[in-house]
Amino acid sequence: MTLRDAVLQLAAALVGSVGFSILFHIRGVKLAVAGLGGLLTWGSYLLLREAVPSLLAANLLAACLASAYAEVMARVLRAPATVFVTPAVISLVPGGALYNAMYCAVTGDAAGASAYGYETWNVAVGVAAGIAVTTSVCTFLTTLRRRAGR
Amino acid sequence: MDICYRALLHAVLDIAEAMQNSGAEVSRVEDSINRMCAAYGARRVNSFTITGNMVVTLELADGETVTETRRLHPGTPDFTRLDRLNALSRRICAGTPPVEEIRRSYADIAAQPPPGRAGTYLGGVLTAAGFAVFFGGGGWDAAAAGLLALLIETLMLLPIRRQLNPLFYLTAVAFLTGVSGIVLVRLGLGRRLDAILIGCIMLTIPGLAITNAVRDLLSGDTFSGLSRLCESLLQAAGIACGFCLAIYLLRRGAGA
Repeated sequence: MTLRDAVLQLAAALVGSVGFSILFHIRGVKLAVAGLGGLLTWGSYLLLREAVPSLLAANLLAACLASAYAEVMARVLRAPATVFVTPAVISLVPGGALYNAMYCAVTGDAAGASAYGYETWNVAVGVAAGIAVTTSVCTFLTTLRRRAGR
Repeated sequence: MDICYRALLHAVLDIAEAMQNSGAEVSRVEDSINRMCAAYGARRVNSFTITGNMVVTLELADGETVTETRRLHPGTPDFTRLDRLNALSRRICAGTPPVEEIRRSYADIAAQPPPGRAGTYLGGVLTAAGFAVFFGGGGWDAAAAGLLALLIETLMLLPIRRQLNPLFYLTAVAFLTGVSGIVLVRLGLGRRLDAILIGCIMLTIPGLAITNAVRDLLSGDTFSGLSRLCESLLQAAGIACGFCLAIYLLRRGAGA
């Protein structure tokens, strides 16, 4: 991937995330923050993909960072974390792999369908696990803080 | 403090129901109910929420119990509303205002307009066009994806949607979108059918439901998590089937 492609893709990720956030009726500063989350997530995924050989691990780490960003922003802007998690991870959703798996299945390319299906599964599991890790850590930290406050 | 707990519980559940319908995870909804009721001195709050139902019983200091049940129907995600409800719930816990005031504040939030048509169309077009480019499409592909997004959002806003089986409806929307996409490419608007349709898939896939399902599962709300996950995976499969069927029927036109 050339630098130009990467920049174009980052810009597209930003537009896509902003669009998604508008659909969920996020407004004002929070809209900008939510859209930026999509851009940052894809940026970190591109970097991680270079460094981490496993597709699942790269997606897991990127989703981890995405929801960490969302949790931090939720605390800064005093909003529920869900507001920022979904727009941030949307660019990691394996829509492309899913489409290719479908296309191969329909056109009778069993090997392709299985390869893309496996990719879809890997990415989906990685993203879900990444969100899970950050959410668990955050819940744990909040519980600790509440205990300490009492 | 003399409080009518029945009225309080009703007001709290109004807030909780609206939170869940605006796209909150179950753990947040239950947590809000527990805290709000505990702030008013309920001895024990038994709240149980799953995706379609909400049951809360308060045990009061004098041994009385108050129960209310709600059947929940999925609403349109609205994070601005969720944000306001969340802030209101915090204010209630901190200041324990009289029930009348809770009702008024809730009515204020409920009266705020939901996301309008213009916003829905704009969001849909930006999402589909953005992801068409994201997955390798060019300017014309983005335009085609944007047009299809208008079609998708129009179909999703149709009132008849509520009367039909949701899974079947999504599949039908995906099928119509797929057919229209292939026709657009045949007519010469856009070159890469894959990028155009992936943009539309990203728009229709139940991303919020899947994210919330994972968060619910993680926080121990296994039932809600599983039912949401199951529902959203079925929807994703339905969408995939719709697109598949369109491609299968019009394959030659798709330039495969």
